[in-house]
Amino acid sequence: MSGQFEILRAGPGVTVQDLGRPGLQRFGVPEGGVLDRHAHHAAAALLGNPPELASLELLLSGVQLRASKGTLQVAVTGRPGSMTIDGTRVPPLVVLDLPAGSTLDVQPGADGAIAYVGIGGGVTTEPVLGSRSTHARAGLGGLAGTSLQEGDVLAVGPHTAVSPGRTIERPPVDPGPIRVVWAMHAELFDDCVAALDQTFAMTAARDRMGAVLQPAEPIPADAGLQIPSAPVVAGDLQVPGDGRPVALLADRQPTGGYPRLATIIGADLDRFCQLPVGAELTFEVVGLEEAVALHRAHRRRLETLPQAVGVAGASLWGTNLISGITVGDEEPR
Amino acid sequence: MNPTVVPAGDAAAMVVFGDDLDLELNDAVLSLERRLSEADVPGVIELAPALASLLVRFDPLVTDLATIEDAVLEARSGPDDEAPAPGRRWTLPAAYGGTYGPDLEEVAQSLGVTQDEAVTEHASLDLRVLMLGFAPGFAYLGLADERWNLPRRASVRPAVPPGSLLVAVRQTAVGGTTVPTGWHVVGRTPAALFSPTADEPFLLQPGDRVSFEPIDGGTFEELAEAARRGRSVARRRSP
Repeated sequence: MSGQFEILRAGPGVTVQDLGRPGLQRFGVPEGGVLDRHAHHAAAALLGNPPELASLELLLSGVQLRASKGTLQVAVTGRPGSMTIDGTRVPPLVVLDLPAGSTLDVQPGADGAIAYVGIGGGVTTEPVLGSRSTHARAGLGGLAGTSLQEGDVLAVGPHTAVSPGRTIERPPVDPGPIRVVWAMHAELFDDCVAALDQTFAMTAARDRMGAVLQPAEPIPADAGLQIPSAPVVAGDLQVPGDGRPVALLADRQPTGGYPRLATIIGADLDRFCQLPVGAELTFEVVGLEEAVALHRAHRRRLETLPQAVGVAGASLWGTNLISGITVGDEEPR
Repeated sequence: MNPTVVPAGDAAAMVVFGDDLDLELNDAVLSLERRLSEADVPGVIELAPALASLLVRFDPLVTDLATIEDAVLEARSGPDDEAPAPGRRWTLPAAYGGTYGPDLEEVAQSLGVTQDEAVTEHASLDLRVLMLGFAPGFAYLGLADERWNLPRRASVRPAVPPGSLLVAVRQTAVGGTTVPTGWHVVGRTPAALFSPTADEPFLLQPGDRVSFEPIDGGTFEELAEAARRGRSVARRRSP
């Protein structure tokens, strides 16, 4: 019997996401899909889900959900805030049982922007154009083409339970510069090197389509600079007239008419998307060969995540995972 | 006309034919797109043609920029490499002016003609789908002559209905979803350009030809109702 859960409370950025719908950019449809691929793949690996199954993406948001049918297995990855099941603290990055009637509460994190609630069997909304990914702007995918709301009821697919307590190491947080390669319009800027060689801040103007960065100094581009609309790729840093670059992300419009300065490398997109509002960042230009090598290594890491799953020792987070969930010296449930 | 191939990030290549709005450049893009598609290069995830450039996205674990460059050279070495395959020809009914096209009057004024004359002129255009982008099913059609090289409006309308005919910079854009726009809204077609659950979700593809057929408001409402019920309202013409 497949399970079901109900949303009791959701922040504005809770959506069903999978690996997206690549191949439709020529029809004006963005690829979409999860913003932090590593975190989504980690949740899938923990639960024994194929990564193509959908999870809940929490972008600058928390969620409270209750299992309403069957015992669900969940694993929360990325950068969540504190988490509880029926009021008792539970850790991220570990498989947790959520019996029918139990409530999982995930708070938004302070040191990151995105968390994933993976559910064994995957969230099974109706696919649109081959994917369950939610593209809210055009009302595609997810549940009714929009972010999840209180009262929404969702189903999960069939799932063979795995051992609760399966865990995976938290990836180290890399505080270094975000690496980029030059984009095709870099030479159209007055001084592309100087433009990138400064400190930027992640603004609150960010969503699944893109993130506006506040530069220390606005980036000048020729007044009236007009380039013909051309296809864009994930990670492109587009600079409109106000001189503040916009990083284009999963739900970006497939074409853009503003000049592109540089492109965030594939290997650093997950890390970029996790930057919280207000975070300062710098960029480092790398050569194409290095960027490609890093991208390939990143992809291989995603594919070998299932091998990185282990079983927690009983003392790892002070939880007793054999006879129930405890934290510290609380009584076992 | 030889394109340049430049990297677009580390997992895509951009084949650039030029940066002008030019039907010949667009011909070259669409022709290359067709040939590359037929070549079925391993590792290519998608081809996205635009006005004068073509994006080739690929899987970096399977292929690389050098292989794509070779594939582009190979595709362009065949005979007749500037002539794209003929696309389908469509007639789309469209109601002009009034609530369907609040900017028709100002467009007519810019052209120095009456609204009726502007409609007749627009409906006589034999337009080509240059590219899709911006939103699902959103097509850029062109090219009208220099008189239609109207600049974008000073302000943006936050939401225009699907099927709105938008004109600016010698092009007509028409889409399948509600979109914001800075272009001039001159009319609306009841045809569905984007049906996400249909077998063929996208009515138009790059290289198709389109012309509009003026209809009145009553006919618009009838056809819109038919389209809502899944009937096709666009007419396919024989080449």
